[in-house]
Amino acid sequence: MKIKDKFNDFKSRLSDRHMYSIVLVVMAIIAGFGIYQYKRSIDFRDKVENGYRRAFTELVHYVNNLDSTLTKAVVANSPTQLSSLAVDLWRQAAFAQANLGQLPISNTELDNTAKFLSQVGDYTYSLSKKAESGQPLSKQEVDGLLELQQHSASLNERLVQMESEMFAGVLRFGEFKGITSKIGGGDVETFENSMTQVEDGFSEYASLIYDGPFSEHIRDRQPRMTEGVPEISEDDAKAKITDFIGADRVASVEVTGEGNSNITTYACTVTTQDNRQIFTEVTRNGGYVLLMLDERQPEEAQLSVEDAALAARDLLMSNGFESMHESYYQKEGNAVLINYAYKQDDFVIYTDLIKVKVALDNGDILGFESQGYITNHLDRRAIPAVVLDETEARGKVAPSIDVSTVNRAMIPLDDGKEVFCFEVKGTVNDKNFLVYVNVENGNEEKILILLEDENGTLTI
Amino acid sequence: MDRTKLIILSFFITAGLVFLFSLANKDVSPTAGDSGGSQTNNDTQLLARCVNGESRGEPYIGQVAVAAVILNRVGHPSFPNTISGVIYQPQAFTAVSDGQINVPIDEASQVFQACREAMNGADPTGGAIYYYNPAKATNQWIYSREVLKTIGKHVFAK
Repeated sequence: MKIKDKFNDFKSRLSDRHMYSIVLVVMAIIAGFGIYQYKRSIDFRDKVENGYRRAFTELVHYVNNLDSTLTKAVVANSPTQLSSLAVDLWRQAAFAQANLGQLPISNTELDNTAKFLSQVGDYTYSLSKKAESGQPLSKQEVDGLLELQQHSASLNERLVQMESEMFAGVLRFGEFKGITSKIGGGDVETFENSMTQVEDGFSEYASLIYDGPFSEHIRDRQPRMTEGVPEISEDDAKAKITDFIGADRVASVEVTGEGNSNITTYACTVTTQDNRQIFTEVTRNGGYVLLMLDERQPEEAQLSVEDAALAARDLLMSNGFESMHESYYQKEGNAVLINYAYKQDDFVIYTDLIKVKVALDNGDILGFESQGYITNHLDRRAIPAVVLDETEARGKVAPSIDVSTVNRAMIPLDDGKEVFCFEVKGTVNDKNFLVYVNVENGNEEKILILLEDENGTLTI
Repeated sequence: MDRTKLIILSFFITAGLVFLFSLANKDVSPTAGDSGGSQTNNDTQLLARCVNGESRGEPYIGQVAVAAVILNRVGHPSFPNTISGVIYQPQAFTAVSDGQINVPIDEASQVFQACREAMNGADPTGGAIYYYNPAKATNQWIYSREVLKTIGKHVFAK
């Protein structure tokens, strides 16, 4: 009993020197501190949980409203009514989604619920736009609305049930298991489990096809340049990339993986002569360079943006990208990123976009990205008859805008449609704008703000 | 008399120790950067803080990839619609829960440059919205997602 002996020894020594009271005081302070910390942690937990409760009850509120709005939308018969309901729906769905994003559940488990909330507003909005333009809704579209309504009804029902469970105290947020299980006992359902059941209700949520940015067919669009083009081998890809970067700079190329997205690619890592790594991707079909990233941070700038543009233009020409037009550039440290868009006749085709990053110390190409070009490019697009002339286009923009130039351009809209427009550039209160006026009917399709400073030009 | 002194002394020592302990426990509070730039710069700063915590020790391309995943989420219907909404989404990133999100990032650093690259549209993942480290991931669900690419230690999926 060595330990017992030691303990007895310790005890006797304490009493010898009358130190019991000291130990007692020390223990009291530690205990006091412990209690204080414990109380504080409970306070914090309550604060955080109240935040969750607020987010959850707001979610229920908005889903509730959304459900009734959607029920009305199903029976709405006039374009005006439908579009006013669509606006409501859009707002309610956005708030619901924002609140859903604040709940302490990993998103992996709420995938489809969140998607439903994003698409429901989007879908109704696209229907209302269609109705406003005078087209009747098809049976399929009305059915889609009905199906969304059924989903929202069951979502609403489940959430309201969860809300009452939460108020009754049977449902708790499971994030603080360490504390709650000690106080609450085992008989509480965790929030996470309940939400997973909500998600299960969406397992049969079909993909919706419509004219909106969140529509499935826009997200999964197949790239034009690589469809139906023969595949190349790994060796071809290596040769292609050596050629692209320049044989004099490349020491070795290795295929390090493959990309499986809409555009299938070979991922190649290039080791340069000066022993740096450059990451590149070459499309499997057609062997186009999709991406190149060199992490080098250039030294003191020696070249001007014009010099850099010459280097970039060289690269584009020697890789068969012809008729590319410099649109915007942005300086970043000692490098410059230049956007190129394809030009057909007088129209700048903004969808067919290539970005080139050039080092301003020696003119090396540091980055290249052609996703936009490869996804959208067509050599010849059918350009619609230009009905308006430039003077008429100027007349279509707000009178407060002081117009400087009018160009022609093709721009993509949110729903993926391509429209041919006059690009009217002008100024109001020292702010530069680009207003796009449809060449066929004079519709104002899009407005962009131009941000110009000493580092370049950006559009938002 | 001696004993009273001892009691008082030990009281102060313990209290001092407790005080020191609570000081040590204090977390790093967010420090304002000296940049004070535009909105987009602040977005990049937030992005860089998250990427820094998530992918330290990864190659440059791996950092661009993680930044691209965050930006892909912003545009994806299943996720919040802002950069901060995506980053601060509960349980989304460990860099947020372990406080690394509050470590300021120098704008000349590599991780900041990687985030700029992603902001400019570079996406080496090909549209991934998830990534995980197969050596560490415990969530079975994540393995059911379609894998797009492996970069460094991370697997990127959608």
